[in-house]
Amino acid sequence: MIEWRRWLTAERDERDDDADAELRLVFRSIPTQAPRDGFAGRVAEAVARDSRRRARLMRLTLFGASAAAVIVSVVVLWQLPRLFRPMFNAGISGLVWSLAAVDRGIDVWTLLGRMARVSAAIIVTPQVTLLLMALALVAIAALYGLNRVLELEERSSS
Amino acid sequence: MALAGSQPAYQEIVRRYQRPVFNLIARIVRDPTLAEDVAQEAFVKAFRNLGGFDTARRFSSWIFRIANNAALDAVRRRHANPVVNANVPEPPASPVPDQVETAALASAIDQAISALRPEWRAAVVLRYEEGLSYEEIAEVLGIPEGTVKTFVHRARKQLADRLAAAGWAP
Repeated sequence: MIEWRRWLTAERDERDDDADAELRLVFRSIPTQAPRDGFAGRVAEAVARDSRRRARLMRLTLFGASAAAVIVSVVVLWQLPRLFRPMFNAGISGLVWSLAAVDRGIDVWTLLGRMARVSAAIIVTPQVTLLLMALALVAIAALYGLNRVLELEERSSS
Repeated sequence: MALAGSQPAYQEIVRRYQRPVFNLIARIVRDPTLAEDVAQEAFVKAFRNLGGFDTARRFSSWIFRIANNAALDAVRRRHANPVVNANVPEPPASPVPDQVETAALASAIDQAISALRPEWRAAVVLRYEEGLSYEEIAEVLGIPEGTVKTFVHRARKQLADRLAAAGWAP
């Protein structure tokens, strides 16, 4: 005999704890819903499919990241010689100016301020900005690629 | 081993949790075919995220949480009104064999549950069918324990009212 009456009586009498316990008993007496036979097997197939799809996606991502890294590296290497001369000149001029400034008795803050302004002026030139952005992209792509490779390694070693 | 991503070991986990996970999802989405798809999706998602599982927590809470979220997403995707005005079947005329009464009661409770809000359905199933504590349910649903108690209390009252209205009087 199912004791649903005891549950409903407890509810009617507002005996919360009893109603809670009785409803648990009622639920224990009725069947729960279950998936069709072979569900675990179908999940295993879906998991394997998903893993293959993700591995494919990861290979594509790695390929894309590597290609991007190569392209950016080529651009950087191509631009470096062009940038080397102006940067070398700026460095020498800065050094000469700094030595002269020290001789003239300019204080350290003025010197640092001037150096910062010169550095900023160099950085905001399109070539240097592009170079720095390219380097940042290479670093991001490399880190992302490394992260995915480590994940793959972790999965395959377990 | 399953936590390290071993597929055969994970299949064992699926076998162990398939019934409660499916039951929770089926109670929320109210469609056995859709429930199976959603349960499969939940298990695949869980496998994908095994690396992020915190071993200090209960695995059951974690898998129920994924299942509950997947079921609620499915309800939202279906664009159906999740609250159903189901007709709760009347009790069979007494005296009847226990199996007949059990079947009638199961059907009546199923219909009454379908009329609850999806969040309440999850709370009721986890509390009364899976035997989880309020604290565990709060962890699964991602809401405060006090809110869970309110959900369970109101849901239980509503179930009782619906059953009583259909003639299941004590």
